[in-house]
Amino acid sequence: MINVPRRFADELRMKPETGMGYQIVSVILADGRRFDRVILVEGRITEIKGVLGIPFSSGDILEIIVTHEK
Amino acid sequence: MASIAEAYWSKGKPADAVIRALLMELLRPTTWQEVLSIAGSLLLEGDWLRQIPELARRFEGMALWESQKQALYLLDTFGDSLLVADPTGSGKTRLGAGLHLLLLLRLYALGQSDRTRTLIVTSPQVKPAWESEFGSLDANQPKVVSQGMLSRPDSGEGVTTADSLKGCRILFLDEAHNYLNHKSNRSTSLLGHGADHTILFTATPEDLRLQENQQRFLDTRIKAAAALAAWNIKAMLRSSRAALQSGIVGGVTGAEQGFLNSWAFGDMDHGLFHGSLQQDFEAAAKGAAAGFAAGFAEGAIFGFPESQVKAQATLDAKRQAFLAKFAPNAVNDTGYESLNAPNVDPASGSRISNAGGAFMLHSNDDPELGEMNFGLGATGGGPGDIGGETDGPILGGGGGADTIPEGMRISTLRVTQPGETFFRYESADSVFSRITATGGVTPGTFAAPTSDGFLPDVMRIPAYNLPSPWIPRSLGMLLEPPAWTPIIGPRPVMGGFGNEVIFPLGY
Repeated sequence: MINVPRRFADELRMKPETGMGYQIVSVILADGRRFDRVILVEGRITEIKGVLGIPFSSGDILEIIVTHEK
Repeated sequence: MASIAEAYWSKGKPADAVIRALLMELLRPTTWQEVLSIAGSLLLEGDWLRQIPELARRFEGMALWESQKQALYLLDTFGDSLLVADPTGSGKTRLGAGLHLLLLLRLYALGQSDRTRTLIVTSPQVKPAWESEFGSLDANQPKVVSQGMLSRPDSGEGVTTADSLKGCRILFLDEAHNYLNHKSNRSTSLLGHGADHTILFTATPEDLRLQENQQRFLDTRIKAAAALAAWNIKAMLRSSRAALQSGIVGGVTGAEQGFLNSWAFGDMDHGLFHGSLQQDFEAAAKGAAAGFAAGFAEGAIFGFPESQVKAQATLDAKRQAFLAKFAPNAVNDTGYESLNAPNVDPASGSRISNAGGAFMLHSNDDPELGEMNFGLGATGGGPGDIGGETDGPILGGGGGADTIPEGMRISTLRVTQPGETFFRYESADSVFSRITATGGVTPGTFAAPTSDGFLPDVMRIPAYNLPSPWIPRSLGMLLEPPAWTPIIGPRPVMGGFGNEVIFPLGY
């Protein structure tokens, strides 16, 4: 589990939730990699569907897109 | 810093008039053609589909028309059941196949492959067409049965059909207008279905008997377009949420009144799509668009018209008095649940009847009451009720919803009632909390109806099927939105045992 940088807080708070207290997002990293179906629980990336662990760190995150992609 | 702020404040001048003039300029009444063209372009050319990449990918390679994509989008967005009422030859069967595929994909993604058993009930004439259309899909093949089997439960195939109804989790019901009579064997046999998703199809939703009874015509296609247009206008008015909310209420109410319609389907009125004869379409569109524009402007600028609120209160009082007269034991604090019918006044012939939870008033005494159908279900009533013709929900209707079995209802966009409250559970990270400084919530926030009760920590995750169960949702808050706040639900949580609501615009 990693924490999302606080700079994303305002944007994420204004985007619709997928369910109570969580969003399913895509995360784009600074090196161009993209991870879909990322579960975000109030600022914490808790898991990525189909991926073991979370293979990046908070500082690698360039963009977060709310997709609700289950 | 304080002195700088004081200096700015001292030089400030009231800008209420300027802002009101600006809003008046932005929201000036316009022609119905212009409103329709905007709404149409938003649906047909807007980037809503691109904003949902998952859905866009699903449609790749599928030869769907725009209207069919819109229906899929609405199903995916607004609820789990749908009424599709498009003209003959408009591609309803193809749409049904697409809906089936969408539902299967969703259920598989949720790990609910055991909930994909599908039953299609259709007329014998078009049964081969359904079988052919679904057979072309690379997906589990549903069972297709003739609707005649529903009314013959004693026959061998009838028993099989009843069992299939009970065991299915997705039910497609073609020629849905054949089930308007709730007392027919065909209709009552449906009540035993076990579907989580019910998709109704019809090309002829109007019922002549209903028309004779001055039931009005509902064109929810335009209604949906108007609602979507209102949501897009949101961007123009982001700085004035109160104006927007009031505008939507006024606008949609205006559109509803402009339609001069209500429940063409009686208590089965919960559709999103309705295709009609061209002249009916144009007439409904003209009234709806003009009503929407005027209502939105009125609501956004002046707040929800007090005169309409008073008119509604007066009408409600008349209903109460009427019920008290004919069914004195039926009126209680929670509604009219115990009404036994019929009750007839021998002098005037006025009467009230109970159609299984949706009540029909027939007043020969009061022309304003006249003859109307209404219900007081969880989603019925409310400000959308202005004029006594539309019961509550903004999108899709739902008056008299008490008679609709669970699973046949869709989630409707409505507005909150005075005093309606909700619970919200979070993990207590204030930076990412969706609770605003004023005690409201941000757009798209989920909550639970207080009818679920205030759940202990350990029950919150399974009740609302929350991911990452090792993170406790230890913070529970009571939400008290203002009356008329746009809201979707309550609806059952997929995979959980609780119910959920969404505040699409926050408050």
